[in-house]
Amino acid sequence: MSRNFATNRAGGRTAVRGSDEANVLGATVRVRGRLLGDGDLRIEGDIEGEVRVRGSLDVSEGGNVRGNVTASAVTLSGSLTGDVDAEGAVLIRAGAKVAGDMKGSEIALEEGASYTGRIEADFELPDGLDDSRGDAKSRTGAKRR
Amino acid sequence: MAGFDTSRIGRGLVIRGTIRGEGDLEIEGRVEGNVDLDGELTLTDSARVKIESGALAARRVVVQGAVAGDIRATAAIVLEPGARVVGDLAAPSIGIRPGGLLRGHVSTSDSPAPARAAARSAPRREEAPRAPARVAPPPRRETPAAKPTPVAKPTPVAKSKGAPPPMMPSLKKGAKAQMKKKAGK
Amino acid sequence: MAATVIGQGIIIEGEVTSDEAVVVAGTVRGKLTVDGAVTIESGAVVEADIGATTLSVGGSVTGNVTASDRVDLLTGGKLIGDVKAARVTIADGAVFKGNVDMDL
Repeated sequence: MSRNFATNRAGGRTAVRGSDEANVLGATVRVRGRLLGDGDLRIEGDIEGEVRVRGSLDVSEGGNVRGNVTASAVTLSGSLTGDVDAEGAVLIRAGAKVAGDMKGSEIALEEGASYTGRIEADFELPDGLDDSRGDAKSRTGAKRR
Repeated sequence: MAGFDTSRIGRGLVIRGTIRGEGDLEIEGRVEGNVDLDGELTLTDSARVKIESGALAARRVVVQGAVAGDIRATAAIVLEPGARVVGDLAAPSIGIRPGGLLRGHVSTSDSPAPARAAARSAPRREEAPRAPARVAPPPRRETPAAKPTPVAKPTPVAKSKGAPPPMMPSLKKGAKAQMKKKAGK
Repeated sequence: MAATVIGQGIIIEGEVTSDEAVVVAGTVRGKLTVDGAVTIESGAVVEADIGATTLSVGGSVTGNVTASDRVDLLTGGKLIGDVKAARVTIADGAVFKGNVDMDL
């Protein structure tokens, strides 16, 4: 469990290095500013700012993130306010509190999670069923990027 | 619900109209219209449901088939593998199993909420304190009509330092009125 | 056992079409067209024209019925409307008001 990162309290970039090892921002860590990483990252603390990691991102039960998140896979057990853009799977666990739009190859939500936001899976409705009330994207007025 | 057996709309059935009532219902066929059920509704993998107005409503909704339209439940909504839903989901508990596909808005709270932050739809931005834009004002229960369309209101909420912001889900227009009606049933 | 059972507590308003048998124990208002057997159970209320292969009425039907095979109105059943079928039976104790056309 390596913690090779520099926390910049003034706000700004925080680089998390550690190749493929899992990095952990412990429960007492606070980051104000952008957080970038190459490997996997587990957040147990409080982050305000964009989070972007190449590997997987895990926001643990006590973790709190306010900002958009980009990772290869995302598991949310704690709190997130922000959009998620994952290449792979996004999982919102029971007990998580999440507000934001989810994008990924697969998005799963456990019963018992608190979630509000949009999910945009890529698929077609079968057998002549169409969303005749308009494009799902524009349903609530907010056009997804 | 005692005394009501499970009803079933078979695979070969097409209903153009509304289904309502009490008891559990399994839909294997096609429905174009609306469903308002005081019971558990299961849409099997052959089900094809198109909600023409309002939302599909039941106590508990389990989806294995395809739905075009919004779904609302007083207890829970579960999308099982193979489910394909284009529409919004609203219920106290919502589950989407891996393999369940959704294109729409999800809200696990039925408390009324004002406009969702429009800021979210913009591409990733760098400003750290985005939190206030996302935090909606406290719920106003007497909201005449829920305003889900994200009119970007710069909400003057104090920047919270470290406390997770409250989750303010948004409801489709009229959904709150519908829920109130349902609650008062 | 029919593949479709519209139970006691269920109300359907609109057009119902089916290519398999239907049992109605609840309420149907509108139109019911089935390429198969239709059974209206005691307690059921149907306010609709019915088309079926065979129709068995043990509940209440208000509407015109057409069956390619037969219509059976059972004791306790009630049918108000015109009947068009190759064969028709009306049991003792059933209530019927309408015309019968067996000339298919």
